[in-house]
Amino acid sequence: MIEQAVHIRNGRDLSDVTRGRYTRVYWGEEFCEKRMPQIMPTRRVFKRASSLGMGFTLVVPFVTERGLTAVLRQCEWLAGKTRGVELVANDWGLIHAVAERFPGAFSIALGRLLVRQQRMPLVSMMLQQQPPLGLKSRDGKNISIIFHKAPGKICRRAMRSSYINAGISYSAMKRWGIGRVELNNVLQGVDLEGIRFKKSLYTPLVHVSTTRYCPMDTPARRKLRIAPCAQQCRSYYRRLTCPTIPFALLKMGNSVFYENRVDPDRLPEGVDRLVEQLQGKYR
Amino acid sequence: MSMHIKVPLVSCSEVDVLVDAGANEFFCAVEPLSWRRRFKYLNLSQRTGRANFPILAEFERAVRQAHRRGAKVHAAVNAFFYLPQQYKAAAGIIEDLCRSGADGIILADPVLLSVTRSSFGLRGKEVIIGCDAAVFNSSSVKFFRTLGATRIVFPREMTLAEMHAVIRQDTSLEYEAFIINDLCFFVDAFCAFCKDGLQGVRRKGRACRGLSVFEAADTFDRGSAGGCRTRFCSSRVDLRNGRKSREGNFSFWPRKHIEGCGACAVWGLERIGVRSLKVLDRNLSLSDRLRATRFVAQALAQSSLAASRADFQRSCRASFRRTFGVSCAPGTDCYYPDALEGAE
Repeated sequence: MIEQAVHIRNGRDLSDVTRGRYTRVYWGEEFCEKRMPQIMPTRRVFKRASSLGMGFTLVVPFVTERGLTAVLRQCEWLAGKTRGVELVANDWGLIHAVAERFPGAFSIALGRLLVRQQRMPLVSMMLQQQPPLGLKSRDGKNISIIFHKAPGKICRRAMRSSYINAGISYSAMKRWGIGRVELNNVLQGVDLEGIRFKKSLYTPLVHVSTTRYCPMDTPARRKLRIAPCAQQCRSYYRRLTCPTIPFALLKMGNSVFYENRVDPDRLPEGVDRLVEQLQGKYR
Repeated sequence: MSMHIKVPLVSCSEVDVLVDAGANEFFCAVEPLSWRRRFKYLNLSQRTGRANFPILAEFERAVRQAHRRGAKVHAAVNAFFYLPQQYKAAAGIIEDLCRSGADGIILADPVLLSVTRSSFGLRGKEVIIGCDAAVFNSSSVKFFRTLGATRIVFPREMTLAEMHAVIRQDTSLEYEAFIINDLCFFVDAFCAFCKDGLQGVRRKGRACRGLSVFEAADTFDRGSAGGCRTRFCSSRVDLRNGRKSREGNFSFWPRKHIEGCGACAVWGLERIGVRSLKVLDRNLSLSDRLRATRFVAQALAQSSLAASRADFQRSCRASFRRTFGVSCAPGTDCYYPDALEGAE
């Protein structure tokens, strides 16, 4: 039985999760410390989820010293409420701090940033043969011809897997309190062979990259890369296209994604949770 | 304690000239033939091909030469990740590197660090946690210290104030920061744009009448290859009503003069307790690395002589202009833009 979860980042979206379709709420921000929810909204969402009999998962991004303090304050409150609340962590330090300060209080899941899948948009294309590409040198005289060589078996496997497929990763991470991994539904497919963790699969957004120089502001501020955050990501996102990539990249806040919706009938065997991101409401 | 300058090394013959230019530490990687045969394009470190020592014997000679000149050598085994069958091979190579005299190993994967420690230990060697481990806070420092880390390399996206907040919490470790070249828009550890591990391009045979034939697992034409430097067409989508409006071209990168410089921040980095300044990258030619090393060494010297931060930054910019032949473009080329704002 696949557990259906919904990831929300805004308290207003809670109304969408009362319809009985989902059994778990993912609450919080995966990629940006500046968009982390405050403790009061977290309390509200936790109480609402509990009253509906839904599971609660706190999602946190990688954090600086300031963000760490804020997250640990939320963890302290949650640890005092109940045991076994789930925490999706995208920061080794946070995993260490939670295990040390609140032993046994949280089930820790390794976030998508730390799972390190091959998420480059072109990976799926690289698996197929491409025509040769001719390049002129700077002097315009010499020509180099680049033949694309389809990667061998070991490379193909590497494109679909990650270090979590290794048994030794499981042993090490078990010691650090990690029992679940969060996975992108990457275009080239996910190889689950050897993964002994519980597995969640996200739909529809596949994470590609994250920056701290948030490119959401005006070009002048973007140039300086120290723009004050006005949370423009709550009001718009950008669709980026180029001839090389046959689909659009979505630049939402400080991260870049592409869409690859999970087909519920063709769910990879071994995945025990589907996490739906409310796109359109992904603000 | 004075700051060190850490410089990329790709050949034994470069040791003397780089030490003369101001290098006190080197970083490099070895990718033995046995690894390349077995794993093809899946690299042992972050760089491919000629950026690595091809054989251990040459690395050993380089280490000996560096030690004669009083410089340390750190070897990188810091790929984005390893496959199950690669862990054992990588741990074996780390053991060989340590036996060959490497002063330290640069790692980014806590699992590999954990495996290496339990298999043969890294006693007496420096364990450097690379920027790909994404150490943004003091708790991460603590986590890696429990695994045996002796030095942390800060991710290039951190501000001086954030670095200072981490260093204040634990001064028992050494800290390293990037200072020049290879500035990247995205967080190294969280980026899949460039780190596909399949960027090897190999020449097939010799050039014939100006025609070279290469074999590649990836295309690399900058600006259109689908990586982070691609020029995209952008449209803006309003989240309230889903309305789409065309914006024109978009690039994550503005035009840059050089590949990133943080020399103006040396003044601040020195004062917050950063021990080593890292010159990048291993793919650059020796002349480029020499030029960058001399420039950083000069900045360090100026930092101890200048009366104020403003004086230092003025002289730094003048030195930049002399060295690279272009005026520094604050913001565009800056590793640490906050150093210019007094944010440290």
